[in-house]
Amino acid sequence: MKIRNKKGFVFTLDLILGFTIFFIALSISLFFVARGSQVSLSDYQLLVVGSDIVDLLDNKGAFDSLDEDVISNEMDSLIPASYDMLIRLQGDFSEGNGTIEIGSEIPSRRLLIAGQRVGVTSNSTYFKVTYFTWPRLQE
Amino acid sequence: MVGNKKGVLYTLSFTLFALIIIALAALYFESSSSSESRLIELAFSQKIVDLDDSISKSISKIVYNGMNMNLDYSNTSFTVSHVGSFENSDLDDLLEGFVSNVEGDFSNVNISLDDFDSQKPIVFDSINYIVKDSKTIEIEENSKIVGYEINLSFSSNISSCVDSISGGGEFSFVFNAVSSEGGGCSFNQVGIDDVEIDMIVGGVGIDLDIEDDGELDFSANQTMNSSIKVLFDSDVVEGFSVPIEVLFSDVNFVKRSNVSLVFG
Repeated sequence: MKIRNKKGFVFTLDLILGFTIFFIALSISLFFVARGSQVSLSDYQLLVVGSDIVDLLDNKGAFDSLDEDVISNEMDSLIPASYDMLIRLQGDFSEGNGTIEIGSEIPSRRLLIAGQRVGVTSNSTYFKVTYFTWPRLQE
Repeated sequence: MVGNKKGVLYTLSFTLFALIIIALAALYFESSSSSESRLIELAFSQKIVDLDDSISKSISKIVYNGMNMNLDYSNTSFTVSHVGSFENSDLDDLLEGFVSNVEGDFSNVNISLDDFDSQKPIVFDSINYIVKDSKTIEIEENSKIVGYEINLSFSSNISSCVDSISGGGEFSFVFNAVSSEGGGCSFNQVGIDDVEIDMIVGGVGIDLDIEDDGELDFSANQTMNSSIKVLFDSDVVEGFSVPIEVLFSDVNFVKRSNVSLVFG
């Protein structure tokens, strides 16, 4: 009677131990799977902020003359304090031998989001815009 | 015996508890992977919208500049104004250059100029305003059109202005031509059927014809600023667009749209 009684609890203890090990393994794998492929809303927000800034610059005519100072000043007035950005303009134009980069240097080992648009200057010269946005490190 | 049953009961309870935890973990995993997929789709569509929007804006800019044009509209009319000629000679080259650059940079984008190449229609709510060349404009017949208001301003002398306006119709017609060098004419009538105006400006003939079905033909081999306001009686459904088709095609994704003219 006593032996059978103990047997029931041994099964329970065995089960608890088994599930504990199983859940530890499950949690660890879920954690790494989720961390490895996670796309968060804040990443999407980075894309939207970058897109909005380039769109506003285009609407304000900042790209009309491909003047780096004009673009840089307009960009500084638009970019939120918690974000940083680089805009690269490429095309068949003489300024910067066809490539103009405005903004901060792309940081290494940081998450950044990139997007692309096209545009024309006031005299209809084509250019491609590639923008990179990333969260600014708070000091 | 009682203790044995207790042990089995514990075992069953833990099994049930563990199954519930596994089910919740599966739900959580499914939900997070589903929301991740939505965010990836959202980011993808944002990139397509970005590109589509910027292509429309660029084409608008090229068309506005190439036609020396301004557009305006209200609930009951739209106005197309040109400063100088109706079309610059380099418009076709600029558009073709733009298309070739975009298609070269983005392999999933295809832009068709086929319906815009020979004649250049500006479409407003199914009314076609066609720039045939640098000197000729046509507005195709349309039952929505109920009148025109036309203002012309020349830098050469208007030496003759002969009108032939027949009544008995339902159109309203306002016409005003002025010149900094002298001469001019104006008409303001309602209930008209068709209109024909022949002018001589700087020794060159200018013709305007409006038919009873709303069709307008305007031929002007002379430098001027023009403004043509088209009146109609129905609510606006669509804004200005040009029949330039932009096709995005990717794996499992196709988007086809006409270019809407964006106000600058």
